[in-house]
Amino acid sequence: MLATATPKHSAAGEGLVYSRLAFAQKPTLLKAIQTAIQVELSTIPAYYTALLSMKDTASDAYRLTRSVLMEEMFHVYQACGLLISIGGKPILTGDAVPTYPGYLPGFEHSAMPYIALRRASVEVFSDVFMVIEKPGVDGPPLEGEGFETIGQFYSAIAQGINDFVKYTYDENIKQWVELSPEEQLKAEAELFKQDPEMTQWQDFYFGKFGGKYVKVTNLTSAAAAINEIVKQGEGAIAPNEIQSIMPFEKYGVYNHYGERVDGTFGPILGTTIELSHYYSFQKIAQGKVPFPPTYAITSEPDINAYLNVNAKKLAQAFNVFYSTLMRSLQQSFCSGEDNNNLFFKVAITIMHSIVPVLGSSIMQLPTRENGDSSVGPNAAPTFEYVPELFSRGIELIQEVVGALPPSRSGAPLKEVLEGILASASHIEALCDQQSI
Amino acid sequence: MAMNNSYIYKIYPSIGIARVGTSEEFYLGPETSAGMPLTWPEAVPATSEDIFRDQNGDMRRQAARFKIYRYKEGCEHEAEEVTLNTPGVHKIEWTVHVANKKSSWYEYQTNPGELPYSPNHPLRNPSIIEAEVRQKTLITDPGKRQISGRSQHGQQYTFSKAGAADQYCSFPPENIKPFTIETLGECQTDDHGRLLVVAGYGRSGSSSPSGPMIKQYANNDSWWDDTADGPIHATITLQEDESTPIYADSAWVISGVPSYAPQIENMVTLYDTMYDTSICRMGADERIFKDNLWQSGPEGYYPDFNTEIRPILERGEKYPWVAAIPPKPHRFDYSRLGNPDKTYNGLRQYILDVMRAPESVNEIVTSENGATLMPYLCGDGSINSQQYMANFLTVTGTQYFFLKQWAQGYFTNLPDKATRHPGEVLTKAVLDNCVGGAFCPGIEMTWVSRIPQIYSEPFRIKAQKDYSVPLSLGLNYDAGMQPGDITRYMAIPWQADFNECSSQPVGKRYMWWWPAQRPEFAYLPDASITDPVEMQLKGKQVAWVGIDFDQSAGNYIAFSDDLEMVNHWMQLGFIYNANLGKSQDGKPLPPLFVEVQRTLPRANADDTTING
Repeated sequence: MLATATPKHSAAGEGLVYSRLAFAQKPTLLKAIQTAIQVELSTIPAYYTALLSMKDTASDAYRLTRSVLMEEMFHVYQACGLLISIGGKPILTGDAVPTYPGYLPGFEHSAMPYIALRRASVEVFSDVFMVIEKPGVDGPPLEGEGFETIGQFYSAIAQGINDFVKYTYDENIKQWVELSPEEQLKAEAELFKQDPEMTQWQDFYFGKFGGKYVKVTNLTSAAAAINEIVKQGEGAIAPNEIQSIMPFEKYGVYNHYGERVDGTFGPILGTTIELSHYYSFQKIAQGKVPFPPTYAITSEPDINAYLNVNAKKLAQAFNVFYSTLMRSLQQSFCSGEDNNNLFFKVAITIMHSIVPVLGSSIMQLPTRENGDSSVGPNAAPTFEYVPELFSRGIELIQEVVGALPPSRSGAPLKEVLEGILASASHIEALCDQQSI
Repeated sequence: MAMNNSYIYKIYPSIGIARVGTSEEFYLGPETSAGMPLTWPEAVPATSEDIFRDQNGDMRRQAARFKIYRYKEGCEHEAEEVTLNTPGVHKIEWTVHVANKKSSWYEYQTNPGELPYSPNHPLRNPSIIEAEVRQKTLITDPGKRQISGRSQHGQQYTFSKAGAADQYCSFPPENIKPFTIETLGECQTDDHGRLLVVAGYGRSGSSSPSGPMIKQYANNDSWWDDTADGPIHATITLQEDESTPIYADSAWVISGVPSYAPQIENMVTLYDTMYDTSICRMGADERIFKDNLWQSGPEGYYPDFNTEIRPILERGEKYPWVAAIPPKPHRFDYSRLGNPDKTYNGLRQYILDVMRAPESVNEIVTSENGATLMPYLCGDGSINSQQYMANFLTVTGTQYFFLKQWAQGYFTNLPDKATRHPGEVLTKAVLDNCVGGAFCPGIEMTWVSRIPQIYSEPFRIKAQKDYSVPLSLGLNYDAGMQPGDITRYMAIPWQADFNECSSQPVGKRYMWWWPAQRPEFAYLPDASITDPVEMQLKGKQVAWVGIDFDQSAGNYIAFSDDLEMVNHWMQLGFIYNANLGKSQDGKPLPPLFVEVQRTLPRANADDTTING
């Protein structure tokens, strides 16, 4: 740690360039983990748009996409814990919220696809989602090269944490030198120094998805946390973990459901390949599961282009709720029971009772006043971060409800929106009070 | 006299459960929900896995214990037990009459029969046509037994030919294979004069000349088993008037299948199903359901979190110990979920939304967000492809109503200070340890539990007062139930259904039947792990029976031939809380369930290693 180095950007100024020395510095690690959080955050609206556009929630394509999406949310949570463990404060609002269309932050533009909010199609799965989740060789990129896979990015972080604790770079001999055990303990304590304002809460709920949340306090748990994300999700696959016809381990626990080696769906022992996002998307892209019908949403949703007033207001309301969600999540990592409760009170309500039903309703509204929703183009949520507070979202929904005709054709939407208002009413006062 | 008559005497539990075993020894059935059986003769909850088998390794039978309570009209909560030790009691005389009518009844075909059977619905053993012959050969009836006094037992109290003395009795042919049936169990009294009914030995046999063969899960002609059911009557005479016996309201005993996971409850228990019947069809509690309307909303019924909501979630939490079910989503934060504050409505709604609504019996995921609906268990009609049949289990209407009120914040979470009738508490505990669905046919009882006409009052089966022998081949709701009328719907032999009803392909999914009563998967014991979460991450989870690597194989978590269950049920393991009685830092350890007391070797368990 004698020398200092900061990660450089590539020649094109796009992605980060790997430098082992730079990644062994705390400021770089803080920045890299925040970037990792933003990478995970960037995938969610893209996957979510594809998910909501599928009409059949019982289809395998829907199920597979949903499982990946839920695990991305878990990864955000786990990456935030990692950042907190080394004294950082996760930022999930403002500029940290991704915009579309755009590139994944930190990556070479040539290596990662340009991500837009598109309806589900075989091409989106094969050319965008599979590329995002593509497996790579274990380990960080070569010195001076950019990042091509998410797995490489996490490997670089893991390597950096390990270097910080165990090694120092000796400029004179141009070599990494292992620290003495006492020095290692000191370095570990120096790295894993949590800000007292922040807490790694372990009580959160993403249903059956994701791995086991690891509370990070030292080198070992940091490695385990990264392992949870990488091995189960983006799938940097070590060669010895290729699935054989018989299990390598004689025993295991059936903690997941998925496609079994016997060709049926059911409880599986949960190998990295069976669970990896890449292979989930591949099944859809290769047509191994039937592709469901989708809503005819516009290809690059732009709120200003929605001439249908209701669609525009609902998309605006969506952005407000989405932004409140991000603010509540960010604040829920702060210390204090009340902050922790924001996850269970505000975030859960928005994620479960508001966002999915509102998003899917928007996708059933044509962008033009007199359009035909079965032909399209229909509107879609734009996932933009806006400063307006929660109650503004309620107002917008109320305006649409008030404007809807009492006719039969308007009734289903009206009913859905009234349901959203009912759910929102329970947390409105709390959101006002917290200014979220 | 006047004073005596002002008391109402009833037998409790109103339905008692005995279970078959191979040992002469027995234990008393659990008297708490998900409790351990009681040791005999001490009658205290067992604290060791040794309870399940005797010293020879034979599976102990389960006895149902019956007690008499009396109370004055309107003072049910002050009910007191009446035994031979109660001052003024001269004598308590019990009458028990069990029978097995399975082979004489209609074939079991899922739901037909809940409405009347159609004229072409086949009978079991249809080749025997003449009514009298059917009565005498297809009904196993050992006759009535009367017993009184303290600590009585002996051959005269067995449900065998010898016990029948000179009464009419009928038993299966003597040459049936692989096991002959000579008794349906026995009755005894304890040192207070309470009644015990002990089940038979789990013997099933076929008279087929070509040898015993089982062709399907529920209806096998030429077969008999030794499960049974029947009424329990009691008369009490007091010292002040020995000539006037007082009749206690009768109870019923069912002797059936062993309980291999007594500490794990079913999502829908038999109590829940009977309670739902009493609420929806017998007007048992108008605070909940009145004039065919659920009393919902802020002015309606407020379920109690600890007694009416939390058990539903806790049962879900235990299922991963007996089936290959992800444990993580089944762990709940009871302090938040029990908080009625409106800001938690979204969190509670999240749970409600994954509970399958009673009318959505064929939905596997929600149409809103694709979440898998719970419980992930078979419905009454899983074995049929017809869409109008219930493919998947739902909680009962009453349970779902409670959950809906809870989700909207209309519930209470207060310390439970209510005083209840101890007999009713006992009945609930006993029935909570039985299966309340899916009924195909079930474990202890089937959908007859949903028919209000079988009851004289909620949870109490209406016993026919006078009947002749041989017992009737028919069914008369007005007259009341006869011995054998409650269990005759069940699979013959019971081992066939018990073996086959493990998992069931429904569409693309394989659903579980009754994991809490018929385990599907089990964890092997590991003394080094005391943390249940760690066990569920790192333990060794194996098929309880059969193999686990091919879901479509005939022996996937089952024996490939039902006949093997007839021969080996008594060797299977029990699922037991290995942390029972253990504590750390003064706090009891959370439950951790492993398989114990298995005497059947497990194929490929420890003889080979795969890939080193």
